[in-house]
Amino acid sequence: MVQKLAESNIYELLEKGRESIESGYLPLEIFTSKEIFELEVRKLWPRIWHFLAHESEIPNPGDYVLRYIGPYDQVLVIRGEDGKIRGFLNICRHRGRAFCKTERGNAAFFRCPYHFWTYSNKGELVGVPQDDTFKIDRREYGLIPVRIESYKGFIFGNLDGKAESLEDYLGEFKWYFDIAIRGGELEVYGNLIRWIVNMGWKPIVDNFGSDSYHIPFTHRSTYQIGANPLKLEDVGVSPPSGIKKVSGGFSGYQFASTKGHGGGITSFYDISAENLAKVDEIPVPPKIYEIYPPNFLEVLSKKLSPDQLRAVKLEMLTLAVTRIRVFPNLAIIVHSLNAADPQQRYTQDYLVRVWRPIDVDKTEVLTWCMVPRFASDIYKRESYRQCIFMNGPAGILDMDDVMNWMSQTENAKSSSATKFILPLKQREIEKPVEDFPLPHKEVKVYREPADWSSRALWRRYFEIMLS
Amino acid sequence: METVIKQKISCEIYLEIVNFLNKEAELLDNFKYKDWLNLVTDDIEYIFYSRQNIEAESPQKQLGSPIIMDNKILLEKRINRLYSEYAWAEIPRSMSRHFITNIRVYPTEKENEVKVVSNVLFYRHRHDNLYHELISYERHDILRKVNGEWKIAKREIIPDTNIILVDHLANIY
Repeated sequence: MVQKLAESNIYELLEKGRESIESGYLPLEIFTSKEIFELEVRKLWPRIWHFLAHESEIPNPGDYVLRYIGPYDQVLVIRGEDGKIRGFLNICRHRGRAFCKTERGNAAFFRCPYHFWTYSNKGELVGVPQDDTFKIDRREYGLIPVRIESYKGFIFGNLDGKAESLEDYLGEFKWYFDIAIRGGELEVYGNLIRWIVNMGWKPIVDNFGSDSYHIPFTHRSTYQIGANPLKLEDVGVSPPSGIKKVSGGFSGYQFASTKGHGGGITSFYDISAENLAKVDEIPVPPKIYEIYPPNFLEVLSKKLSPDQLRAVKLEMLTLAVTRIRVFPNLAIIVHSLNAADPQQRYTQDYLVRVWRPIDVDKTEVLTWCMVPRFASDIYKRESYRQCIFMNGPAGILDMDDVMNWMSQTENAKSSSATKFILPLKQREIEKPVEDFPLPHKEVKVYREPADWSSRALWRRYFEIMLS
Repeated sequence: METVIKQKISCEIYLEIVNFLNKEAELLDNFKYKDWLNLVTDDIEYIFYSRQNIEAESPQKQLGSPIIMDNKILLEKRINRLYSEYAWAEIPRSMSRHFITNIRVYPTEKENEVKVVSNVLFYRHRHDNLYHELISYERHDILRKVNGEWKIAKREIIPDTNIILVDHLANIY
């Protein structure tokens, strides 16, 4: 809509959103309100922990990557010559020019092209031309630090510096995060793939890592060509006792954290809640191990708790897609897939995904493909090959997904959008599952498919925007 | 020049290559993807690289990891998908045009193979979009003569951008 909302009306719309979520609805116009987008720049992006980089991208002193938080803030993530990882705003203290213009590299120093003010890779101002003409203390003009914290190799930044610790921000959900990242045993393969698409970021995060309902429909073509995700019969296994195939869609378990995180262990197969406790007793059919690196469980047993290993076993027994979303715009998705090499028949891809807002209808899609660092070279290569075949600009999943999100974005701009409230009603009347093997006080666990993960996201979103 | 040219590219060969690339583009721009599959060898490597905004003395040094790394198995899947009723990215089909210029043909170690470098401007329009999409890239091909016909044994695509700025890469490039 061209019409500008007055400041008070923005808060009215946000209040309407907050109330709607409580009764299980989301107003469509939230997706593309320009005023709300601008308010997010002040109230959302500076206050969250935003995924920036993985430690394996910058292994050596001086290695850096340049990343963004929200539409405008460039953050340099750099390993100093002392080995410590720091974050800095890409803004020269003298006149505000960006001193770094490359997206990655290795540098001992950064020299701003404007007046040659020079900074060390630890952020200290070390060079000022004609410095006798200035009466300043250089120690007061170092680069502005961005607060950085790492969780098992995943580096996050918090712009306003006031967020709770990263571990507290993840809360109980870190147990779930651990499963997707295999206890921290992942590394980035290749480099970040960047892609900008004409769509808003909010329709996407409503879907990604939450909505398993769309998979058999939006992604139906991938089933027809035998590309998406493996079924037990594809690897020559019949469902172990206690596990049954679901018809017409997905099942499994969905997560919804009060801190806004979500995800699921989502599958064509169902282990009933009563049988969850018996996961230990069901042996993993040997053929399923072919999907994983040979020493997979051995390595993970040193990194994960017995309960977490039970959740991994749930993934293995049902060939589940393991999906997590960290509030608001990071997701990690692990699929079990056919590989395309005679020496490696199956593999898993590890998609790490950030959706970065640029405008109400422009979003940068960041794709990292990760691999278990303990896997063989051929496993890593095939994992990467599948990762880009499924995800990113040429990924057969993403390219159909963006059609949905672009269309929702355009419709949310229409004058009719104000009439639409979208139902987040799937499994609304079901109670959370009580026997899930991971901690579930802050994180509620529901049967898939459901709208609870999406609700958790929006509830947290409105809470932050209105605080 | 110290390099020894092992075999000279004749006008005849050059013309064959130009005709091949033009015919290939015609198939792609007319949605004849299955026919296009007949133009590739069984051991094809089809690679679309990412490119990085980094300090480098040559475009080759700016190359990142692939965005597409298909062999024949994956190319067949990718193309079969386009014939599915559910490949939403290409329903309805986008309108596209491959403009191929600056064609350079070089001999290789192998008698039946040539290296072909060309510049491509790919134009596309989709749906009711108020914009069109352009990708400029360089192709590095290995073409192999099999039973008297040229086939693509390797295609490396080097885009002139570090950020993919089109809505998807569902076509063949």
